[in-house]
Amino acid sequence: MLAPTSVDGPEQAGLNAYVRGSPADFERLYRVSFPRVVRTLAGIVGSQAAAEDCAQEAFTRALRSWPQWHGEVPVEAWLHRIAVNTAISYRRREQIRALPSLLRRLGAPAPDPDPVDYAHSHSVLAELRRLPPKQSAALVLRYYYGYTNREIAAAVGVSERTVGQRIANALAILRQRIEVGEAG
Amino acid sequence: MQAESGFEQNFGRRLRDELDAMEIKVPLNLPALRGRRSWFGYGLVRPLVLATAATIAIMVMASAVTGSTNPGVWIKPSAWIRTIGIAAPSPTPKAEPKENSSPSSEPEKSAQPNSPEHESGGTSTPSDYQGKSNQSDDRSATPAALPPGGHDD
Repeated sequence: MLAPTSVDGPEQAGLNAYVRGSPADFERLYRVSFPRVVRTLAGIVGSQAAAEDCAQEAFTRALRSWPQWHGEVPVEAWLHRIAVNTAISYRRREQIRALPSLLRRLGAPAPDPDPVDYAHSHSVLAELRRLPPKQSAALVLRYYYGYTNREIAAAVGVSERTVGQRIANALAILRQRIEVGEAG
Repeated sequence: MQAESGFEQNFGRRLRDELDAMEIKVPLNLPALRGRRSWFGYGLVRPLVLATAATIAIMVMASAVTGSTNPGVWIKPSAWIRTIGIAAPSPTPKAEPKENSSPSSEPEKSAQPNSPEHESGGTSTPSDYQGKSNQSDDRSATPAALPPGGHDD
């Protein structure tokens, strides 16, 4: 049975009707939750296209684990945990892929910034992308969905204290970057 | 809930603006869901369709070759052999060992119809023997199948 937490939000009350392992229910969950998961992932990976790819992968993982989902965790919190872990894996792979070009650039003068990239780099999503993925996930869940620390902790599978530390650290970094960037 | 500072409020507003500006279309089908459906549905139907098609093809071929729609005819080798044109194998496998026997025994058997025993044993003439032997191909093909005392017994 699902815990009556508000992680799902009032408009998602119907999520509690999901039956574990039911293919039809998973398909319904997919249709209802896909946009929300993409937005969460966009805050971690920094772009919509990458977020949609990650969301596909996350739902594929979730489908494999769907028969093992237990109702103690709200279904969307469970889904967010899978999505965040998928995004973390994506960021790691991305760093590995970027390593050769980073090595080639060592010692070379920095290229002139592309105006499009420059504009994008001042977006909040771009700033979130520069954060560690666990921190950016906590920020998105807090400031976009309005989850409490307890709900975020349930979603990502850590303690409330850890969530509080992640959010505080991330805000400190962002405040410094954004304020410096706007001043510059 | 903790009171948000001005920075947090500003950050939250900008984050909501950027994320809400996304136009997200849910893909019609998750690839994994398609795979799952094929496992239960299409995956079960396809072998059945293939088996049915193979059965129909075999039935059409069998009816075309044998010229009959009766499955009882299809399983008779003679119907296939007649159509394909292969000579019917000898129903008496005893004939083969006889062919491998020593050549000295063949003149004896070829001379058997003309032997005195054969002539005295019955009323039939050699011409009668030849005529009757043509009526039964099986017996004429295998000298060993001939009765020792003549064919009229």
